[in-house]
Formats: sequence, structure tokens, C-alpha cells
Amino acid sequence: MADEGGLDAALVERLTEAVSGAASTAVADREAVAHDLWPYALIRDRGGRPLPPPGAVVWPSSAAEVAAVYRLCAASSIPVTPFGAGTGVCGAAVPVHGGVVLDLKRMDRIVDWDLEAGWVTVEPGILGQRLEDAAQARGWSLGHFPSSLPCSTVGGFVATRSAGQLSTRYGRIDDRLAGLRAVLSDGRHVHLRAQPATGAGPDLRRLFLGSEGAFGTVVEATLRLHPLPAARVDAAYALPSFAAGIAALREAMLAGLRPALVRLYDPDDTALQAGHLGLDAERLRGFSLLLTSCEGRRRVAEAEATELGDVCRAQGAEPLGDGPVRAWYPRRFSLAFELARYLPAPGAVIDTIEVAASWGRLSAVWQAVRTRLAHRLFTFCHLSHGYSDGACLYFTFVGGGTEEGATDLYAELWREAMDAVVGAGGTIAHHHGAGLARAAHLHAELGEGGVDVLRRLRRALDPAGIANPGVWEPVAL
Amino acid sequence: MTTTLPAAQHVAAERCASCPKMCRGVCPTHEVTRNERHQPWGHAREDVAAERSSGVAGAGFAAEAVAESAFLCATCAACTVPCEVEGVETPDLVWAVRAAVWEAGAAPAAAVEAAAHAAAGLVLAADDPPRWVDPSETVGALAASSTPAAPLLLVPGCGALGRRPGAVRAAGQALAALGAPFRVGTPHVCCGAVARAAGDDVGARAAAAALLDGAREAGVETIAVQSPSCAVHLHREGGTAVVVPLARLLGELARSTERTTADAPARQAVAYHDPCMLARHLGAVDEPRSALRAAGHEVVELARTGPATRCSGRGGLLSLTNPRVAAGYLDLLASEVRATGAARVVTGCATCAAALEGALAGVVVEELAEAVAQAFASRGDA
Repeated sequence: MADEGGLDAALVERLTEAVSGAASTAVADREAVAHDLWPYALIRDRGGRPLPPPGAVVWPSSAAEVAAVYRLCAASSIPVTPFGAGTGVCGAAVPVHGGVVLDLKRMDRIVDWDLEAGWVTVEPGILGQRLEDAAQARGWSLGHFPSSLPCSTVGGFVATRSAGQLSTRYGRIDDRLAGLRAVLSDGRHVHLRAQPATGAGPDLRRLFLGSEGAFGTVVEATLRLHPLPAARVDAAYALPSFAAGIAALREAMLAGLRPALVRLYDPDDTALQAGHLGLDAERLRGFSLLLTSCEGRRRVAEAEATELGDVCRAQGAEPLGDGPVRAWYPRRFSLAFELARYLPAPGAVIDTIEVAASWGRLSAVWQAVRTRLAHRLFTFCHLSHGYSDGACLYFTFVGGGTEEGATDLYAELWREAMDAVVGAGGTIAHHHGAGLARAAHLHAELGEGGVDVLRRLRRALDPAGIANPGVWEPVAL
Repeated sequence: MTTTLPAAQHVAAERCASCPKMCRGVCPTHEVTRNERHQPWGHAREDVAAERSSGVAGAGFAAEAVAESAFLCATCAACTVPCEVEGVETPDLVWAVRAAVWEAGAAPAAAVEAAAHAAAGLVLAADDPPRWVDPSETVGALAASSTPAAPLLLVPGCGALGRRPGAVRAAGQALAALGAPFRVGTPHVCCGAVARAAGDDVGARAAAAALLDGAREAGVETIAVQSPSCAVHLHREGGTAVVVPLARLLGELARSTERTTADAPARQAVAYHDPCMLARHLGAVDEPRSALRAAGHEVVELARTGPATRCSGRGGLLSLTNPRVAAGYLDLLASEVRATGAARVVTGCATCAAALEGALAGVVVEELAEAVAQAFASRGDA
């Protein structure tokens, strides 16, 4: 006999028992986890066409309870979709095939501090902000500041391979992850112990980075901290063009400089940012604004900032002082609030797309995406997350049409943007994960061989095919 | 019946439902239940859906889930601190949704009963099980120490009268000790805050208007309100110019009492809990601390203090409609108080004081007026 969520009532009873009663099949509870913050789903919601909810939600409190849920679901071939805070923007947490949503928010403990090594071990449901606050209270920092920090979880960071605003110095979550525990879809546990580095075969930790629930669920992560920097030296510059800014950053990164903050806005984004940062937009017309912060021991930070300034000036940069950067920090998480303001308008389409490319291809990727999108919506871009060999480009597009055509327009824009990136030699994702939004382009990204390996891995690790089976698969919703 | 939200709250609901839940980390309901829908975002998306289905039998604001969400909130406003979405003030949205739920006839029985008892002049003395009492004795005792024609009217409020009558008497003693003669309205009439929390907007507005108009006609210049939630309600209903939270007034009076520094005994450390209604809704953060310092105390701060304070779970009728969730709020707050190691905690809300007293064995709990009255009376000022 099926319950109201379409699951077998006996299974629901066993699941409820497995999680000490913390389970629900109530429609309202299920609807709240029917999707993450993938704008496609939000636009559908807005139009009164919400995605279908899963059959049940469970809130495990331990790795053992996660394992019990997997075992029960595997025996009945019921899909299981892990859910952290539901702030992903690519649909990775959408339970496409229904089943059970594994809400991890009760697993939010800080398990251990090893400050000799600079490690903290946490459960996946802990909010990033809470962890950062706890670390800073001890004089440390995770150095990981995605704009969703107040509302997203460590499990989500790992599952989507997130990067924060200061990743140029502190790395992405990939670089912060020292070890982990995971539960596979057959209920077996994997413990990949924290180590500073290891050469013992392939790095299996990386298997779970970006796995988006397809290989099981990460139930514990050991993350690298760094001592809070003694000093921060801010500086802003106006570059004569986006290309000049890219050239400056390439030079800086190749010289071994690692500023914590690097944000280079293209001229359209510069025009938008200027007013918020106390700058004269008119005077900066056509320029690219660069915000930088160098952190660490004072003399090192100052020296790095001096070198960075020299590199920028060599590309024709005009120094703008530290005011714009100081004005930026209090607004660093504000993008979400802007999205919330614009998205409800009928017909509105708004989203961000983050991609990456090597230095030599960045300008081409920037041009290609803008060419495809800018004639249809207002599109602007900033560069962040620098590496020795390239950087991330973060596009925002906003505009709209009819409400009836909004989801089609959204899907088309994504398709166009992904095609443009692939065509120009970039990677289709930098730090929001692949999810559903990028499923159709995974083949272009990974190639035949790569997709084949991914599928084989999936079959090997999830023989029952229940571990978030919808993710990475193109699907008509 | 088709029920919709006021235009501004309709926009607020839509915007809140489109936000990446930036306030999730500070919502105490979510911290207690960990349920994705038990946070402003979850409530807002249900509100949007309710408007869409309004007019359908059993749907819209008559739907059980919508009513449940609307009352799973203490209106503590913790979510307003991180929120930067233009046009969104979650307590305003919650009150508007509760009004819609009330109009749809779907308000929880506990809320309907509370509104009826409050309108009848009763006050809540205990939550579980709810016990409503006549506060005439306490009001009478306060009136006995009052000055009938004083320009200052002291309104204890239902919370103080019901949960902590001793704090009401202390309010009178504190004002007297600080040289502020006051009058009292008898018998006690509810200001409408309970009706507002229940969703009975008509009753809420009428009660507030009666109190404010009556005071003005009687020549009252200032209304000092002891229960912060009553002060919040009266402010919303047009009383901003005359209504002052008692905690703020005590702080101002104590600060201006020159004798205090010289007379102060050895400073005793007390933890101070900012009531959410007082600190966030009314912005009274410094004044209670001033009062405590003037009373000779060293103020120990909780981990979450000032506008970031934790709610005790007594606001918004949460302790009546969802006692288990309210108990979770209180546990979180009590843990923070314990973490200070202070042997004594003071709060600017009698309802919070009563709740904390029940949760903190071995810790002396006082409402601000009690601490002030005790200090100044012991110096012979009372």
C-alpha cells in the first residue's frame, strides 16, 4: 500500500524507524525540498508549475542512520537525493525521480579541532558561516567565502566543488579538503583519512568532490584552516580595458603573487558596481574595475600589494585607493538579495553562469558568451578565482520576456552560453557544480571517454542506481 | 472566501520566496526543527501558493499547512538582521499572513482562545497547560503606589502581569525610586498585542486605539510599557510618539541619577539577555545596560547579544501554538546563558524572565525592573 508520497507505507515506516522518527511524508515538507535554488525551478514555481516533490523527507542524525536509509532504499530501488541547505543553483538536489530526500541539516556537529595540523572535522550539514565563526573565534579561518556562506553547508561545498571569494589565495574547497567519510548507496562506509598529502594511489577524496550525491553521501569532512591573517592590504584600480586587466592578472599570477581577493569587472559590470563602491560611473565608462586584497603577515601583504600594484600600473592601471574594496566587503554577499528582488517579476529571467578558461582563451570565452547572450538580455561579467594558468569568468544575465516563455528562454540561454564556452575552449563550470543545468553539455566537456568513465564509476559505486540518479542526466522536466 | 495579502506583503512574500534563504542560520524555528519549510523562505513560498489558491475550499489561507507555518514563528525578527531584500520585513509578513489565516477561519484553536481571553482582560500565567488569570490583584497593588494625575502612565502588559507579577510591582518601585511618579489604568485592559499575534487585526487595532485614545484624553504624556511585545504593538498602532518601553525609560532615568556611581557597591557580574522584541523591534539595547551599570552591575554579554540576540520562544504565541518548538528556543537561549558562567541573569522582558527561571536551575533570574528596584531601594532611594 502506498502512502501519500507514492512510497510503500511499510518502507516509510521502516525509514522513519531508521532515522529515529525524523521523517515526513507531509506534502508541505516534501514540497520544500522539491528543488534547490536552480532558477529554472524557481521560474517554474513562479508560474505555478512547481517541480514534483519527492515521496518522503528524512533527517538522519548520524552516519549510521544515513547508511540505514540507503540500505532500505537500495533494497526497494528507491532513489535517494542528499539535500544540504538547498542553495545550489544548478539543480543537483532536485529529486528528479522522486524517492527519498536525505536532509542532512541535523548532522551539523563540529567533530574535532586539530589545530596542530590546522584541521577541523565537521558533519556535512553545518552552515559555512557557523563553521567560519567558530574557526575565527579560535583565531583561524577556513578561507572559504562563497556568496552563499550564511546559508549553505559544508556538504554542499564538497558536493558541488565550490569556491569562495578569496580562493585565489586560499584555494577552492578541493584544496581545503584533507579527508572525508562517506556512505555509499549500499550503506557501506568509506573513510579517507585526513593527510597533508598522499601518493597512495589515486586520490579517492577527489572522487567525492563534485559528486553531487551520485556516489553516496559525504557524512564528515576534514578541512584545512589557516590562521587569521595579521593584515589585509586593499587596493582598487581602473584598467583601460578588460583585456588589460586579464593581462595584469596573468602577469601577477605567473609571478607567484596570490592576492586573496581578485575581482576584475568588465566595463558593463564596472558601470553597475561603481555607484555601490563610491566611484563615479561616468568617469569609469569603458574601464575595467579591479578590486584586490593581499593578506598575511603585514610586511608580506604590503610587499605583495606593492608588487601587484606595479604589475597593474604596467598595464595602464589607474590606482583608485582602498575605498572601493572597503566598500565591497560589507556587500560581498548581496548578490542574493538582488536576485530575490528581480526574479519574482513575471517573465523575468536572471541567473549567473561561472566558467573558466586558460589565460589565452579567457578573452575569447568572454566575447563568445557575451555575443550569444548580450543581444537578448543585459549581460555582464567579472573575473575572479585566479590560477597560474587561467581564471574563472562569472557572467550574470538579467532580462525577460513573457511568463509563458520564461523557462524556454532560460533553457535556451544556458544552452547558448554552454555552447559558446565549449566553442571557445573553456570549461562549462567553475564552482556551482554540474547538476541538471549542465547535464546536456557534460559530453562536450568530458568527451566520450570521460562520460564512459563517469558512467562506469557510477555503476560500480551505486549498483542499485539509487544515488541521485537524475543528476548529470539530461532530463525533460 | 478569497483572501489576499496587502500589496506590500504580497511583494514581500514573492521576494522572500526567491531568496537563497540567507537568514536560515539565524532563524530559531529552523534551528530547532531543521525542516526546510520552517524558515522565512519556506513560509513565504507557502504564502505565495496560498494566494494563488485562495478561494478554493480548504486551500489558500484556510489550508492547514499555511496556518501551521504562519504560527511556527515567534516574530522575533532574527531574520531581519541579515536580510537586505528591499521590502521584506518578515514579522510584518507573518502578521499579515496570520490576519489572512484568521479571516479564513483557520487560526489555531490556541490562538483563538488566547485572543478571547486577552480581550476579556485575562492574562496568561503559564503555558503548559495554559492558565489564564485575572490580574486585578497585581494591578490594584500597583495602583496603590501610583500618583493618579501623573503624566506618566505605566502599562505592565499581559506578559508581565501574567508571568511575573513581582516584576510589575518592582516596576512601580523602580520608577518611584528614580523619581518618576506614574499612574496606572484600572482595571487592566489588553492593548491588542495578543489579538495581533493571533491574527485578529480588527480586535488588535481597536484595543490599541482604545488604550492610546483613552490615555491622550486623560492627559497622559508618556506611556511606559513594561512588556516589550505590547510596546511593539502600540508603536505599530501609532503610539510611537508617546509609548516608551519601560526598559528604555529605566535606563534613561538611572543614567541621569548622579548619585549612582558614588553609591554603587562592589560591582556584581550579571548576564544580560536582550529580549528580541526590545532589542530588535524597538532598538533598546544600550538603555537596559545603562540601568544595570547604574544599579552597580557589571554586564556580562551572551554570545548573541544586542540585535543578534536569541528569542526565548515566548513571542508570537509560539509557546501556545507550538510548545515543543518554543521549548527548543528556550533551550538554546538557556545554553547561552549557562555558557557565560554568570550566577545571575537579567532580561528586559518579564515573560523571558519567567521562562528562563524555569530553565536555569541555580541561576538567579530577574526582570530588569526587579534588578533596578532592588539596587536603588537598597541604597535608600526607594
